[in-house]
Amino acid sequence: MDRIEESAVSPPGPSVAAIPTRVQGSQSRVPRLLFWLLAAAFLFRIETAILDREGKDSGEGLVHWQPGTAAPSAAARFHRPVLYDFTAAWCVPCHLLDSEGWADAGIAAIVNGSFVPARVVDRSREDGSNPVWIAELQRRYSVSAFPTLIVADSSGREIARMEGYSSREKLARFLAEAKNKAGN
Amino acid sequence: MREMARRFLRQKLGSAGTFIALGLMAVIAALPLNAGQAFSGLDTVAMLVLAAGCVSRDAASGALQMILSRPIRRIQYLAGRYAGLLACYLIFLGSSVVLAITLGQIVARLSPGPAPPMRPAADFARVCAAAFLQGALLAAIVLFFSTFLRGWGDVLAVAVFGILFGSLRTLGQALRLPAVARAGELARDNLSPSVPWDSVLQGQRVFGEPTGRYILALLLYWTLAAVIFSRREFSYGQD
Repeated sequence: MDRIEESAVSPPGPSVAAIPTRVQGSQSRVPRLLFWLLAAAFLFRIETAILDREGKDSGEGLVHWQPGTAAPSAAARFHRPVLYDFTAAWCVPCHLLDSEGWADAGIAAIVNGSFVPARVVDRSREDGSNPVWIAELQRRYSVSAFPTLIVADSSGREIARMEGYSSREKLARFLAEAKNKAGN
Repeated sequence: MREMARRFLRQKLGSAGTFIALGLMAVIAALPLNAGQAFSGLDTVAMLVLAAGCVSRDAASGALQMILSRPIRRIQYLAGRYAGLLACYLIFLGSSVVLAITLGQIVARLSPGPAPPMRPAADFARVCAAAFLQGALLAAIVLFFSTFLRGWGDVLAVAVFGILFGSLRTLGQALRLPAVARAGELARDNLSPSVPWDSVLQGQRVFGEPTGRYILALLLYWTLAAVIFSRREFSYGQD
C-alpha cells in the first residue's frame, strides 16, 4: 500500500475521476507538520492553564477582590458595603458574569469605588463540603443558586440581592440601586 | 483533497433525506435566531447528521478502497472529507441565517405596529462563527471515531462518551466521591471542551484555558484520526 503506480487500478464512476494520478512518497505517511502542530497545541494548553491560574490567584479581571473573611472589617474601615459574589467553578452563568460583567471597565470601576468586593467560591460539588466560613455565609444569606450577589453592610445586614446573571445592563442597574440603598 | 471535499458535498447534498432533514432543521433554527438567540442545539444535531459515517460508510460501500487504489494520500482523503463536512455545515449555518433574516422581514411587514428592530448583522456573524468553531471540534471527534468504527458507530460513540462523562460527574456527586466527579469533569473539559465563544469572539479571554483545551483537543483528534487511518487495511467486503 506504500506506493501506488499510475496504472494500478482504474476506478469507475465520475466521482473519483479528478483524483491526481501521481503521489510522491508513501501513501500512508502522516505529515510531520501535524505532530509539530500537536506539540505546539500542547504547549499552548499548558501556557493558557498557567495564565488562567495566575489570573484567578491574583483576582479575576478588573475587580479588586478581597479575601471573604477580611471583607467585613475592610467594609467598616472604608465605610463601604460588602459585595459578595457567591459563585462556583461548574456554574456557566458565573463564568459569563466573570467574562462579561466583572471584565467590564465601567462596572469594575463602580465595584472598586463603592463596594468591598469579595468572592465566595462554592466547593461542595468538588470537595463534598465547603470551608466553615463559606458554609456560614451561604446559610446567613440563604444562598441556594449561583451566581448570587449580596450587598451587605459591615455588620452583615443584607441591603440588596441579585440571583442569576442575564446582562451587563441589569448588573449595572443592580449595583447602582444597591449603592443608593447603602447611602453612598 | 479538493475533489474529496466536492465528493462529500455531492454525497450529502445529493441525498434527498439529508437535504430535507437539513432544510427542516435550518427552518426550525431560524426561529430562535430571529428571536436573538443562538442555534439551541440544532447546530450539533445538524453536524451529527452530516458527519455520521463520514469515513466508515465509504469503507463499507467499497468506495474508499476504490479511491485508495489511486495515487492519493490517505491524509488528503481525510482532509477532503473534513473540509467537505465543514463546507456542508457552513451552508447549513448560512441558510439558517438567511431564513432568520427573511422571517424577520416578513414579521416586520405583517405586524401592524412599529416594526421590531432587526438583529444586527454582526450578531448573526458571531453566532454563526461560534457554532462553526464548536462544530469543527465535533466534526473532528466524529471523523476520529469514523476511522475505526463501522457504520453509524462514530455518532453512537460520540453520544455514548458524552453520556459517560456526564454520568461520571453525576455519579460522583451522588455517591459523594469527589474523585469520580472530578474525573468526569476533567474528561469532559479536556476531551469535549466547550469554549465561551461569544466572549472569545468579542476579544475577551482569547488566550484563556478553554481556548487552549479546544485547540489541543481538535489537533489531538485529528492526529489520532490520521495515524489510525494511515495504518488501517481496508479489504473489499469486510463489512
